[in-house]
Amino acid sequence: MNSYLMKILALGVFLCASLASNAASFEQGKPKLQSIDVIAFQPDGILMIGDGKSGQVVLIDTKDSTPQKWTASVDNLKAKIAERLGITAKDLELIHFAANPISGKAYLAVRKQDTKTQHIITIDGQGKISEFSLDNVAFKSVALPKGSGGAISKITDLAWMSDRLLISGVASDEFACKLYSVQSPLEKQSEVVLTSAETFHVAHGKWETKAPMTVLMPFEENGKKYLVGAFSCTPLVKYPLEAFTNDAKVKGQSIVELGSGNKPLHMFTYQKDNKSYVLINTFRFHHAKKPFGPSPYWTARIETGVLADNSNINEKALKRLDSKGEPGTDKIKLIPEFHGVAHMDKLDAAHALVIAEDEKGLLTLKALNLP
Amino acid sequence: MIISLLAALLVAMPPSFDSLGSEVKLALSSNSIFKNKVGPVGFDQAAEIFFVGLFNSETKKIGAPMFGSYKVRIGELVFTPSQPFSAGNTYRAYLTNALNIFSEYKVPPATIQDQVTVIRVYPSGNQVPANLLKFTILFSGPMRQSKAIFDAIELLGPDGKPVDDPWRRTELWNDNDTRLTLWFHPGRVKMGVNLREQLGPPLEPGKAYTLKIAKKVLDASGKELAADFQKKIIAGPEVRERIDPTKWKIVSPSMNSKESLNIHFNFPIDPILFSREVAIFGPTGRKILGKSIMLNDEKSWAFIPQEDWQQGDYVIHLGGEVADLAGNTISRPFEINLESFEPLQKMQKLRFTIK
Repeated sequence: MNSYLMKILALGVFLCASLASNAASFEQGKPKLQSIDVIAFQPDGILMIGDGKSGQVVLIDTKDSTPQKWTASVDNLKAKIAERLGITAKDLELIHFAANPISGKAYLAVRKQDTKTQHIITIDGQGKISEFSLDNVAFKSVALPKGSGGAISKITDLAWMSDRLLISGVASDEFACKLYSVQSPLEKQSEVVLTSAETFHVAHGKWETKAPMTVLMPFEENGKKYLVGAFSCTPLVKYPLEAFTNDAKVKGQSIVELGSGNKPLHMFTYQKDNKSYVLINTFRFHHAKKPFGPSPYWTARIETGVLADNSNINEKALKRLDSKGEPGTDKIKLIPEFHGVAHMDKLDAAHALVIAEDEKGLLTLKALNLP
Repeated sequence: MIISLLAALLVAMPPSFDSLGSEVKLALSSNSIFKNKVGPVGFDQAAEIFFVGLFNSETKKIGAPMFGSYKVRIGELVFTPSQPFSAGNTYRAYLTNALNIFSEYKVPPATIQDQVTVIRVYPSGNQVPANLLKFTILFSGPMRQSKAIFDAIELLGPDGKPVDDPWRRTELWNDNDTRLTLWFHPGRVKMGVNLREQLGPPLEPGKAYTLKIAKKVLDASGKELAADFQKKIIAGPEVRERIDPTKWKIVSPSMNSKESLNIHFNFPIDPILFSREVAIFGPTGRKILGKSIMLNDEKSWAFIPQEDWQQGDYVIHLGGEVADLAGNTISRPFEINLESFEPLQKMQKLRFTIK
């Protein structure tokens, strides 16, 4: 049996097992969503929608499981999606993006501004744009507790980690970092651990605050599980999941400092040539003052070993730039091929699916080789 | 010959919009692949017969087929768009193989509503701590959610030039999009964070600034605001201490009256968090219902009960998230100095007696 057939067979066994375990609790119908803040996938192709206004994560069995090869490059993306919705590009806002790890199809959350409605759009490997209707789907929802203080108003990111769902949320009126950990199996009444996190200020060693997390990803080392988070303009921070208990204030370790003036947007881990990396793209709001490339969107590759280093933390965290603002380490590399990437997700072992912005502000969806 | 001419005319008829613009239909020809079908049919196959697209009257560009569904109903192929046609736009239904044969539907513009204005900005006062954490902006109508808003709201410095990158670029709207919570970038406010180290704080004590909300901010219908909005503020010393409610002054009302209970704060208080976190309990332990209002640029709070005050001891419960303008709360200062760490308080109680 050749390797391709082996892959298909293995995928089939995996899908059957995971869908069977999930299918029991899905209901058919239209999920009640008040907002679509972020989208992400479980490894078995279950779409996860973060709905901060309702304080819930909705899981959807997309039944989208046919693997495909990416050959397309979809330029002028916003206009192409907008006209399919009967509007012009100025009336469309791109909210979030994820790649289905089973089919490789791109999923985009968009807002139709004139009706204030949110939609899920899919684009396949040949560039075909479709609407993923939520009117009649197999779904279930996981309610997120309010906890102390105010309810979250927005989910900033969510990610699946082998046996649990990790979620970060922010409230409108109070400066807080609410982190949720939901143990598998995910059900309406799943036990949800809600905690808040403290962040150490790297430049001075004596201050710490709450800080709303903007992007997160799971990370495992030596059998221990961590949440790695990034903020509006602070380092990557690692939080041990074993410390997540209800109402706990979890203290993280700052591990990487990418430099000020950047807002991290997406990150994921991957392997290449037997080495493990994190790829992270950011929006540089200091682009006009000190650009890192032709676009305010730039991407860095970080050796995963940096995340596992437990000695160089907090004020000793590895800095991408030295005191003169020049690259200070070869463990963090700026990736020129990813300049302009505003959204990205891991497509397969060798590729990322990205939405890149050009100098005119136009977006192109395409697959790029992982660096 | 007459029959074939009629057939040609029938084939050449464009799809037609119904009067409400909710569906578009086309009579099926006798040789149509759908002639003997009833019910839903595949989008791709049906779109080969006719499609509906947005038409740009200026560029004459025909939009790609709109999302929707097709079905066959009594000899007609019917298209229902997945989204209602949008106000002010023009749509055309084309025979796919003859783009010169089409019908057009112009959607009337939306009813002109009053232009939205900024009706209030918290903090109401002009004096703010230099480590002010956020503005809360109230609009007279629903607004359009868009990241573009962060570039349309400026903080002008004493020299009239915009302060660089003052905002945290996370949109936080209330449920009906009439209230925006606009946070300063925490990296500019927090001590010992690299952004503040390199750029300095957005506000410096003793200096005057102007919050400018540009007219180009769009409301929900895509219209601009009625006018630019400006609010002047003067930065005072930074405040980095936990709120101490024992420093507040309580003015008790009279017995058997509906006089207001008044609390005078030593600093302006975040009105939204305060209204959420405060509760008053009477002598029997029952929660006192009533209306409250912030006064004096959020330096005072007045509470008017539904029923007359009765003689006895009252307790004011203050949740730990009651905050000042710099994010210091009852439970903790905004930033914790690890060298002088204080235990945290979750809630505080204030008492007053009506005699």
